[in-house]
Amino acid sequence: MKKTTCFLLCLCFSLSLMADADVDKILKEFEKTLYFPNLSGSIKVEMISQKGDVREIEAKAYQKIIDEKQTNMLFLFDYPPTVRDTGILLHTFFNGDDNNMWIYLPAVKRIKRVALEQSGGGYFMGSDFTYSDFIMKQHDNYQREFLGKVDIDGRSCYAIKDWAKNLKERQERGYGYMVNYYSSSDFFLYARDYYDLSENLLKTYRVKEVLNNNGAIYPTSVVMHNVQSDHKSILKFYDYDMEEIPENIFTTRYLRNR
Amino acid sequence: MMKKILIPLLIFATVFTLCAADFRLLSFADYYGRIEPGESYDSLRTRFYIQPELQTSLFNFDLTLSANLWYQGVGDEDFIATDNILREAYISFPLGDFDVALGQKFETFGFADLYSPLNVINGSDPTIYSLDDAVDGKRADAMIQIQFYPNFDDTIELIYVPFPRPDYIAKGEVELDNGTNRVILNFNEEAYLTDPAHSIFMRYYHFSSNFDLQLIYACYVEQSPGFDLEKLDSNSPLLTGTGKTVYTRNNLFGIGVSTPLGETILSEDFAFTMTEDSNGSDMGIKNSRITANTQFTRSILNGTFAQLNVIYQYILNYDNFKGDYDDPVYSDLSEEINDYFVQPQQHIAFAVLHLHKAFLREKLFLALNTAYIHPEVYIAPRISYALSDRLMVESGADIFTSEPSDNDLVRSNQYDNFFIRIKYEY
Repeated sequence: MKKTTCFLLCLCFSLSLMADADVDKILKEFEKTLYFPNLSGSIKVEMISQKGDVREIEAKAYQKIIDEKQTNMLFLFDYPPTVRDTGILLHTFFNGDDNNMWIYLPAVKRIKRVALEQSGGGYFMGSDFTYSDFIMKQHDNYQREFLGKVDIDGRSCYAIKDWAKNLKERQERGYGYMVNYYSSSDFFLYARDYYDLSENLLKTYRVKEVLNNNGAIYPTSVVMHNVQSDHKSILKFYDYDMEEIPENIFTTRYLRNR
Repeated sequence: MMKKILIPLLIFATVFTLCAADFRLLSFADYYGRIEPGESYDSLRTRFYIQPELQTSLFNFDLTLSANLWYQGVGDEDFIATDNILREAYISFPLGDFDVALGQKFETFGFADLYSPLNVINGSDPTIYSLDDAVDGKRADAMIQIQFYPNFDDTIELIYVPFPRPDYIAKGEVELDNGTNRVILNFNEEAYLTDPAHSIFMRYYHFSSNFDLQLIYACYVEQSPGFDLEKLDSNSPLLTGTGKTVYTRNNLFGIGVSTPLGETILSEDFAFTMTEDSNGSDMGIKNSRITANTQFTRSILNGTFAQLNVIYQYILNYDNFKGDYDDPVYSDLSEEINDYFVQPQQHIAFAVLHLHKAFLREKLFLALNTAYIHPEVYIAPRISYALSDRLMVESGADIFTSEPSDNDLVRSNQYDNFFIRIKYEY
């Protein structure tokens, strides 16, 4: 009996180590796919209500990896008219430093420093995406569990459960946990399920089309579906370019006087 | 009147056909009703408004041209005043490390969103019914603006306004007759000020991860007029005569800081404003003052945007002129004028709270503005609903717990009101 218990304990321990090793390997491979030093293009988000009403957001987007700890982003809105010429500048950090966000309000010609959660309650212009969905998380603040291999939309994927270690961060992000699905062939994140703080499925994220540039992958068509409200947002990224973006694009000068 | 409307439209049409232009339009129809307790219901205004705007690029130049046009079925004036039709008209272009703008343009100083003591550029229109009226609240100035960028984080800016636009006051002569004085104050209606002229604004702007900073020096013409009272006659038991409006020069030294404090953004605007009446002896000129505006912004209660502004102002040499005038008849006039200057006491403190939250995927927007100026309260609820991406209905009310002032020089709306508006943007 003692031998059997020891064997089972050892087996569980080794399985756990294997799972951890798998998770680390998958995440490392996934991170490699994200390496776009410069990326710019246009985004269009179609927001489709339960009744089928469609509203749209159009913006230009710029993203530049400054160094291993910082990525800068800029969104310049073209549509709808109520937000036209509004700009959002984001300096995001992976090392635990606070992210910085400035918004340019054309009606008053003012640049205003804001916190991420102050923008539409965290939701990106009324869509199903939140501002934090566009921002990389700091790995150390999250716990992960390997759930096994599953089939998502005909693609074999590794499923990894992912949740913030502290409750405050879970509450801020509005998610109890997420299940991420990484392709077993190229390790890209093709799907994600978001669970609310009561652990009910809240929304699903599915990548429909990607841009593949020598192993670096970027989603160009994404559907975020809030299953609780049956509201859907389809994000399309087009007219993209990977040429060097000058650093002065990510400054308040450009935000104000573009 | 047709000429007023046709000429700007003709300019727009010509420029639009000449260049590949981005044409925009804001239009609305609204209705304001008076709901002052103790007074009968009254219609304050019915306005049909359009704001065409054109933005285009030609070579390295960007051109912005926009106009205000409105007609009122009910209200003080039928049509917009001619000098208010042109809203903005300027060209801007980059020149190496410089950005240059020439023409009539809005500009904003300071970090506080309201009552910033640094935001002294551009005159205002105090006849608005709602304090948050973004369409009529400000009047753009014709300016030369040069911004120099020594690096990505810093900006040094110079703005020269040759002929500042005063606050919009269409009052003409105002007769003050309150028992101790019978004074006529004659408000002129100059579109652009030529005497005195020339306002200069200098700003250093810094953005960084930890804080944003503005340092401002301005030598500017105060847009709100004072009064030349030298011709008043106090020999009779009554103070009589005519005082005319005069514009005077201020010097402002200011600093603004905005920084994150955990999940709160703290912004502080601080200014020392020195007027021409440095010793406070001239009743007709605003006194020098020190003003601080502290703004806290954060998200509360599950995503409600909350912003609190606490404003304090200290008036220097308050009521010093009394030493020159023993006659008590001056007291009534000074009270009237100090109220008009918004300098009713030596210490002024008030707080403004703004809350808003979007619902239904940002289709429904609820907001509440409240202000507390002891012992009075101002409450302004707002609701708007987007019928589509371009069409919106809005409603709101402006409620003051105080009685409407019986001051003859009151310029802003004092009556409780409500409004409904339908707005279209293209």
